[in-house]
Amino acid sequence: MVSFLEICRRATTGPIVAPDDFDMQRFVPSLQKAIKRHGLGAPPKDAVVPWDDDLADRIFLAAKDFLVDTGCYCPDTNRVITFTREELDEAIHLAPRQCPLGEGKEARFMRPRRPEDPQLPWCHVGGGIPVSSDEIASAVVEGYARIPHADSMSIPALTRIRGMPVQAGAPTEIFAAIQSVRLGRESMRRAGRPGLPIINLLSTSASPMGVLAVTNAEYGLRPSDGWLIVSLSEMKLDYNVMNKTAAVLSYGGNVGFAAGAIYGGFAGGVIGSAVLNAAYIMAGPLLVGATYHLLYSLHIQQSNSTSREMLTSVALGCQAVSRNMPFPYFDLGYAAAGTATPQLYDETAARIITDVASGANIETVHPAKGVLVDNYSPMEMRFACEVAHAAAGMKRQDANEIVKALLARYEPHLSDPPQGSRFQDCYNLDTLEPTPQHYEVYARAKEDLRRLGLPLR
Amino acid sequence: MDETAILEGLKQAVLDYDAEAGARLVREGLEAGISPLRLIDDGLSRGIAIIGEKFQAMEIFLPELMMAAKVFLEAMKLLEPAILAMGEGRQKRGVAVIGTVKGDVHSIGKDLFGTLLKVAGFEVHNLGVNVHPGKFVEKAEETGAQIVGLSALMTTTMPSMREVIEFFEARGIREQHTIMVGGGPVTEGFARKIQADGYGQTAQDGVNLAIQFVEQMRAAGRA
Repeated sequence: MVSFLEICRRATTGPIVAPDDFDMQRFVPSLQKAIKRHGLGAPPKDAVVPWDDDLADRIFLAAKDFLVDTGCYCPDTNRVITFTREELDEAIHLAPRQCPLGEGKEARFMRPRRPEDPQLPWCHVGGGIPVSSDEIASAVVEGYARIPHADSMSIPALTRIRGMPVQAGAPTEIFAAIQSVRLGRESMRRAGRPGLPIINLLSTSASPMGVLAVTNAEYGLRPSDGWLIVSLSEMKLDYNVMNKTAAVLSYGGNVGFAAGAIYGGFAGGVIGSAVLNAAYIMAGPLLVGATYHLLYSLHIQQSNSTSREMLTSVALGCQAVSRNMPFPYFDLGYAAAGTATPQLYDETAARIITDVASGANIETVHPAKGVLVDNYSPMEMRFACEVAHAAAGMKRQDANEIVKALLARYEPHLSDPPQGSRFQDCYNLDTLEPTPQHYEVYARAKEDLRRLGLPLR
Repeated sequence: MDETAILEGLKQAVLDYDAEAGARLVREGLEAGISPLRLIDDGLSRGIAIIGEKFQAMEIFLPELMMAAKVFLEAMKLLEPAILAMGEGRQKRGVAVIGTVKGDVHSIGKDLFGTLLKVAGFEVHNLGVNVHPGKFVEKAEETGAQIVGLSALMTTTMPSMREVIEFFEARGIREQHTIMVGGGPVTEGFARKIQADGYGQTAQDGVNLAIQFVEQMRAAGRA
């Protein structure tokens, strides 16, 4: 098994390639060659959630070929980290089959699933969405932790600390990183679930210094939390990322590799993005010693990931891995519409049903592309979990029919989505209950899904 | 080959991502006495316009866009000396300094913006990633850039965009440059809040806006 230290060595000894040449002379031709070699073609447009096992398996094989041909680029050294097919095969074979997360009564294993698997998906709740104040952050995390389906948490990204903007590389980032974990833990404690794992290290801080600042069981993250190592697009690991990996591995933390294809970017369209999504998931254990993966594929123009072609490319990538590599991962989608709007509920349902039927675990869908401050609430997160549980065991063809019905409603509005409400405007912060109007949107969305055939409780 | 065939061939070379054909047709066109500006405007640019539309509609993707841009830029290398030699001025659209702000190392969107700016006729100075605010000021002063484009992909690096604007203010040259912002988490509201001049949701939006800004600056005698 290739060690992380060996990956670091290869980053200093691999072939030297100019940055632009890696993208256009190595990455793109390797991907296109793999697609051609395995005869991959996009499924028909009405198969939004495809059910072609042979196609999924060929995507998996193409992803392996692509990874071996391409390697991974280190921009700090201008070298390609290469590995052999045998090394990749071994890493896939030896990849962890479950990821232990959480403490006390919240301790459990994130496990891999297969397409149409009746096993309930892992529900990761929350998001690194920017938040305007500590008070809002505290309230929203408490709301997340009250969701009984929640298996793990993301805590929001603080944007200010004592009135100062949180800035990457500045001391404010360090203080905010510590503060965000402290607030998150306290909020989960109030909800009676202090052992819930935080597995989004760390939306408030992206620097290695931020990681080191919270590598502290007393007021920071625990080894039983999840530590996200976010790659650069496409297929790049810089020293910033590798330094974080070195720190987390030394601390004994669960490394979660976070990467997904940019649809329309160097990977191209549905099939190229599907192959790259599969490649990212399978590469994590080899490149950074990952024990789980966060897949988050984005669109190069739209910033949301609930469009028809995005759903299909993610579904195919997930099915490829879920059928061929028993490794735990979950998928994150971004909706165009904001909180407390019917469209957000439709987009959420489409993405979650696609994920679950395709064998993925889920993260709750981020409203408003995850960029509007305070634009989220526990209500749509609970809805996402309920949909995820209800979709477990669903046949992909059945999922496809529901997703198409949802798409028919929201697809025309993706380019001009409703912005929705801020958390404090659609929730009573004293009781942590949704406003009656917001609850009505949630209840109607559930009723509508039942009519479409989803067995929601 | 007559003039119409050469111009049509240039458009097609862009659509076929064929840099060799593009260069050959430029040489043929120049030898046939066709104005370099006509080769650009009625040949290459027509192809690029179609490519831009196809990319917006996601009928083609980033690799194809980059290959088409390469055809255009390779052809321009042959055309620029010819333009100078003939004393024929193709007015530069403008000068732009772009970069990803301090603390942030993401580059795809910013590089795409830079490529599209070049194709639109801008002289582009791409400062790369993790750029200190002072570097933007230094380069903008040195090149007389009308446009300064700032990119960020993380909420924690967005404050660096405001910092860049403050550096321009402190230097007393804020009014001389149009500062645009973009990147995944950046919104129009954020752009207004930090007093940036413009926001582009996509790279093409940014280019369209940059063209508008430069035209406005020219009309106001500021460029």
